[in-house]
Amino acid sequence: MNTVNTLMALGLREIWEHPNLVWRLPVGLLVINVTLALLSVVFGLNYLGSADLNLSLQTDVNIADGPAEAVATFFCLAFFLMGQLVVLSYLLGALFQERKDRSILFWKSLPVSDLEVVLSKLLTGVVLIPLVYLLIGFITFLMVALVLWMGLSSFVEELVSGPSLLSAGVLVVGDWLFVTLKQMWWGLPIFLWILLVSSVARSQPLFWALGLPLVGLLIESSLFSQTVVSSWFWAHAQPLPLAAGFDHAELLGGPMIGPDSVLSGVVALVLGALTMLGRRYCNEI
Amino acid sequence: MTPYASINKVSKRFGQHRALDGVSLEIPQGGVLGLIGPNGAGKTTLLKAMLGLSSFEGEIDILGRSPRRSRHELMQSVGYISDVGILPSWMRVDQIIQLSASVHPNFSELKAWEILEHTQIQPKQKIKTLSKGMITQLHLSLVLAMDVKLLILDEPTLGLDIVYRSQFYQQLLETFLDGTRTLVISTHQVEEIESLLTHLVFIEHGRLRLSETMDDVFERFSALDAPSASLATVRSLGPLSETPTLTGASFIFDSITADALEGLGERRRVGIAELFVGMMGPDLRSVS
Repeated sequence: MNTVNTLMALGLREIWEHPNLVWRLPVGLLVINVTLALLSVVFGLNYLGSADLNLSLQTDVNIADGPAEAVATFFCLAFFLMGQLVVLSYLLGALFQERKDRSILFWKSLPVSDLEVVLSKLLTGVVLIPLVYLLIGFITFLMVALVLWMGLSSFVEELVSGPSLLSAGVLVVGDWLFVTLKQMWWGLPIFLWILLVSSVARSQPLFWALGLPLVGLLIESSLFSQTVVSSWFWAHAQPLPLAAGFDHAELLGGPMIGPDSVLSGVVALVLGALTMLGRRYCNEI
Repeated sequence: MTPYASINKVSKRFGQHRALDGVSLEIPQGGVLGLIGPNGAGKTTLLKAMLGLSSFEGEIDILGRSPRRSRHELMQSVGYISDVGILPSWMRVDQIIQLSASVHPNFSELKAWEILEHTQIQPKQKIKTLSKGMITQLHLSLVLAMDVKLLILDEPTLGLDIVYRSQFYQQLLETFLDGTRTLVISTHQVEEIESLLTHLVFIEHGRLRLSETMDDVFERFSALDAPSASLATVRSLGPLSETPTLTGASFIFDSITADALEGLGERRRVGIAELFVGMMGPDLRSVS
């Protein structure tokens, strides 16, 4: 068994174990939004300002700066932020639950290394879940836009073409794919901190995950009259769009490799190694 | 033959409590080793150390590997069932079999399904819906489908009814034991495994009290059912233990010749349970 096959199998295990977090929740949101879009068309609800779209979705509007882009951005941002919340929740229980229900004894009876287990949890949380949420966010945009477009087409004569709507959405989701990839690196120290707590906490992982950094903040501010380390930590605890103040240029621009990025990598590496040791030495609770 | 496992002066502390105290043991190729001891004797601690699941002082070599450093590689050749139902409750039966086949190079999915065919377990059932006995059956089918050299069972039938226990050992006999594989089993139900054992180990307070082949045990220890009339004579021979019976008493002797017991009562082969009780002291009246 090579590591890639093992990681694929372990990734599948995570999807089996957490269907609600990984795909049912975003699919549920998709269904709700498409239903609201249908209702708005059938009953004239002003869902997402669809009454205004009546005028603005016509061909003389610049689609790239227009409502289609706004709707696509809305869905991408909403699903992105929801995905980030889900990642935190997933990572918090990822290595804690198997110790709590003692199933760790079964997992450790399989020829799978601690590194492979930690990697599978990290990749599921940091890569798979955000990408699934972004993809479903994009599909939600497409379906909502399609429903609204079809609804409007019956009484707006010169409506923007379907392909133009699609291309506007693709441009937006391309930007958000880039933001999602940046977020994976930006948030890595926090994600690994939470995974570390999940691997060693004997109870209440949420308490320790938040409590220790808060104690660190108090100690640093009272002893050194500054909060350089804590501020860095808490800055990375925010999703990238919030840290960038929703500034489009800052969100998309900026080099991926810089002193702060390198520091993120070093901190992540240390926390990752500690998480692996935690998984190796902390057995059932 | 090189032993499958060598345990050399292994100790383990939990705070002030010494759970293992300089345990040394060799587990040979082929056969069934019974690890018997009262609660808190150190059985589970020793088995977990052998599996790389806990830290310890001393040295353990399992199939040429260190369990602490090479646990995941070792588990390609070692199977394990612990004393509690530890299968993940959220999984379905088909999922746990598919996953085991994906990560274990020596796992036969076909064999697992063949074994499960003879049970009530359905492929799409979630583990949390299975009874304790069915979970044990499922776990046994998983480890039997792994082509392992060493199988470690820690109280595998704890809490199961007699039907499930009987099926469990029958399955082990039919599917696992082939003369080259080794089974290490820790259990309270000593009588049920007595006929399977080739090696016997008693452990108490983290120390080994006995470690012999069954042939040596039967050669070394003797049991005698003596009538009331000969009790005084028998006692003068220094028995290991004495248990009153309706007609007199049962005695166990360590290293005594058959001639010495001639005419004093009915000499018979010693039972593991009575030997265990006899060796562990007068306060221990049940294997618990």
